[in-house]
Formats: sequence, C-alpha cells, structure tokens
Amino acid sequence: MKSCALIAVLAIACSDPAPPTPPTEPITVSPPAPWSDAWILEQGTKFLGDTSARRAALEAALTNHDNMYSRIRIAAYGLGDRGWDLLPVWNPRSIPVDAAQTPALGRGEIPALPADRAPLWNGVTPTTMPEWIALGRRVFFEYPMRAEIFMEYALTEPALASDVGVQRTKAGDVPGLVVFANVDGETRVGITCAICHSNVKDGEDIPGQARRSFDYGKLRITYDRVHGTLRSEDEAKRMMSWGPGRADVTEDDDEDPVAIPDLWGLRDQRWLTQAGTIRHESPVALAIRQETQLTDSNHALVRPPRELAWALAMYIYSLKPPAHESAPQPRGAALFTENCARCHANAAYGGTTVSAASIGTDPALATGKGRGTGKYRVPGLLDVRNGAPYLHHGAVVSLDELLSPARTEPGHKAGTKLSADDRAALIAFLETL
Amino acid sequence: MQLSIAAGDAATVQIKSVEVLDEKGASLGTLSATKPTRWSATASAYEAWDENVGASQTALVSYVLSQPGFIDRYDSHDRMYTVKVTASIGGVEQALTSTVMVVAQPAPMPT
Repeated sequence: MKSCALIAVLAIACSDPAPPTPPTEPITVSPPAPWSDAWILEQGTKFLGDTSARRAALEAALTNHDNMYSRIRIAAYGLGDRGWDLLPVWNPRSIPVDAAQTPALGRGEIPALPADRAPLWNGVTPTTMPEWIALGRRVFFEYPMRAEIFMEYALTEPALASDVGVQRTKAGDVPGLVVFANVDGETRVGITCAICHSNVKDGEDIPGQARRSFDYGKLRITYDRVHGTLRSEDEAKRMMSWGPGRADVTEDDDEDPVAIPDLWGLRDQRWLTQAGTIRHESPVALAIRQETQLTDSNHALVRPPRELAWALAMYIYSLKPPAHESAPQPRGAALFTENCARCHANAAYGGTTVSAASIGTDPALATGKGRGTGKYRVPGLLDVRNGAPYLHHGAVVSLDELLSPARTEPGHKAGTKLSADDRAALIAFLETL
Repeated sequence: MQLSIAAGDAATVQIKSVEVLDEKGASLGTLSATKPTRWSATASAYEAWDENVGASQTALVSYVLSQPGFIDRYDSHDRMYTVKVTASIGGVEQALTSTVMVVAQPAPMPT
C-alpha cells in the first residue's frame, strides 16, 4: 500500500501542471426556507417514499404517547411489514350529493354510481403546489370517511336535515355528503371532511369555516329514537347536550365535546387539535394525521393512497377566511399587543400550548384519556369575529362575553380586566383579523 | 380482522383460533372469525372469498370477529391487547400476533 501511495504521489508531482482556472464564486445552494412551498414539497417526498421517516415523524409528532389517539397509531402506523401499511389502498369512487340526487335520496333510495365513474384519483402524482391543492380539494369534498346511516336517514327528513345543519348551496349541492361505492361493494351515503369544516353562507360554500350549525348529537339521537336503537337515556342526554357546532371526537367515555374549529392558518400553527395532541413541526405531521384519520374512520379496513393524504394537507394549508374590509384599529392593536400577543403570537394569531391548569378552562379534554396532553393549544384568531362560540369547547357565546369580567365560565382571564372602552377597542381590533 | 397472506404455492387458509391476551400475556378468551372476504383491486372492495390463495399471490383478506364479551368493563377498554391468530395455510399452522386497542366506543365523529 505504501508503494502504491507513493507512486500516486509521484505521478501527481510529475504530471503536467494543470492549467490555471479562473477564480469562481463558490456555488452555494441554500436549502429552502422552512414552511416555504419548496420546503413543504421536499417533505412530501419523505412522506410518500420513506416508511422509516413516516414512523419517526409519527413518534416525534405525538405529544403524549400514552393517550388513546397515540397508542392506536403507535401500534399500527408506519411499521412497513405489518399494521396499517399492509391494508388495501382504497381510491374510492364517489359523487358529491347534489340536486339531481335529492329526489331519490329523499325517498330513501341511494342512486347507483354511473358505471363509468372513475376513482377519485387518476394515479398521477402532482408535482406542483397548485396541483396538490386541487387534488386535496377533491379529497376534502369527495373522500368518504365512512358510510353514515344517520345521514341517509336525514336526507329522507328534510326538516330534520335542515335543523341539524345539513346544508345546501343555492345550486342544490350538499357539501360534505357523497354517494359512494363502499369497501363492501354497497352504494352508500358517506361523510367527508366538508361536513364539519365547510359552511354555506348566502348560498355559497366556504371551505375551511366550521359548520357551527351542525348538530351531530341531535341527528344521532333522533335517528336512534325513531329506529329503537338508543342505547341509553344517559347517552341521549350527553349527545343532545353537545348542541350545534360541537361534538365529542374522542375514543373514550369522557364527557369532553369540542367546538368544531375553523381551519384557517394551520400552516402557521405548530400544534394540532385543541389539546395540542400533535406537534406540527413538519407538514408530514399533518399528512400523517390525515392518513390515519381516513384509515381509522373507515374502521381500518383500508387506507387511503398517501398521495391523497398529502394532497389533503396541502389543501388545508391553502384555506383562507373570506376577505373582509375593515378600518385600522390602532388602539385595539396596541391593547392586543399588551394583553394578548404574548400567547397569540404567530402569524395566525395562535401560539404554543399552555397547561390546562394555567389557562383554567374546563380541563376534561386536556386531561382526558382520548387526546389529552395536560395542555391546550393557543388557538389562531383569523376570522375570530365569525368564530363564536369560543374556547375549545364552545362555552362562550361572544367576544364581549369572553372578555367580560362578569363571565361565569371559568378560565382564560386575559383581557377581562380591561375597562369597557378598552374592551370595545380590543374587540374592534379582533374583528379586523 | 385484516390479514395479509403471501403464498408460495397455492394454499387453502383456515383460521384455527383467534385468542386475546392481556398486557401480561394472560389469555382472556377466544373470538370466532367468520365471513371471509378478500380485497379485489379491480372492484375496489372486499368480496366473498373461498379461503384459497393462488401460487405466488398475496391476499389481503378480512374476517368479521365476534364481540369480545369478556371485555365488558370500561376499565378494560383503555388498554392494549394482543391478538394471537393461528392460521393453517396449506396445512401448515402459523401464528401471528398483533397489538390492538379496544376502545370503549368509536369516536362519534371521526377526526
């Protein structure tokens, strides 16, 4: 080895000197800035192609590995040769419910899908952010989370449907409901993301806005009473107590309903769910949330194509509240900085998590077995003027009540010691967001 | 219960037992597995299945399990269980285990 090395050195020494090269500027390639489109798309490559990266991202994202949400996923997700990774990949055939289907659905008949109805996704992987968003929009409105017998019933009872927030656009579309070919081959009515996270106003649908008229508890209990399937009066009392815009989303027996949240500004939020169940340091965390949600809600019989989970995440990032004009409120802005901005600190006016004890609001969700972390996320405030009721469980009906010193609902004392004039100025500023 | 079965030679599958174990490995009881179906990529659905797998095929199959009547208290729900499946594949018995959580009730609204 030594002689070889020596020969090499000699050869270099004896060779013709290389022609001088002109000095050049060093070429540096900066990695894309975190949360830029380029960076997000780069993360998508890992999500779509790297099982171990998905598994690592799951474990890093789950705040409390001991709650039920985490334990279900840790036991099943990102395991490669077992668990949910082996489930059939389901690319469903579905049609959004619209005016044309209403008569048949009203008679309790579920119309057959046209034989030539193609699966939701054509199998071509998007390459640009606009393409991902366009595909994600279809997932949001068309990917069935599960067959929903309660909705099939509601469509036969228009007054009930209207009462529980099954909405129609002026064109007759019913956002959030699809007719689809289920995994058992039956044609059914299913619910999609849009049933909770879109809202019809003045005949137009607003994707991303919480449907605060949606009273799922009332729908369920009404169905159960009519069909004799009510399990207990206690359950009826619990579900009827949710009211419009609230539902219990946890897998336990705790009584911890939450307000349906708007989906504004999630790209700027670093925690997902009201209890901060998921750290959102990368879009992979949201994509895993969507993939596991679509898997779990379909009873883990199938999983979605990961491209659809990623697309859904990209669509959610794209959602923005409706634009509105408002005059600057400098005094209110100053009061916000002084009283609110320490917690509501990011670009969506949300922030990190705070302990349930320190914020003082109802601790049931934060300490519950289902999603609990001991903490609550500081929510974003985009379009907060339309965000009532407030707090994670929707217990406060207005901004004025939230900031009132006379409020009886406990917790979130920030802003409640302002004078009436300052409170009004702060609310005027909040209404500009 | 969903299984992925990879067959070298053509084989007949028979579920011999489905046993549920607690976190300490103690047997809690057995479940029955009925209504075998197999995922059809063509139909994009589970279809009735005769429990035969062709040579060099991988079958994604599903069985309906009976309700675990021995898990009837809420305290028992917030816990992980091991499901041990013994299957005969081409006359050769194989066992596999999977960790599952039995939830008190499915989330009323999936999120």
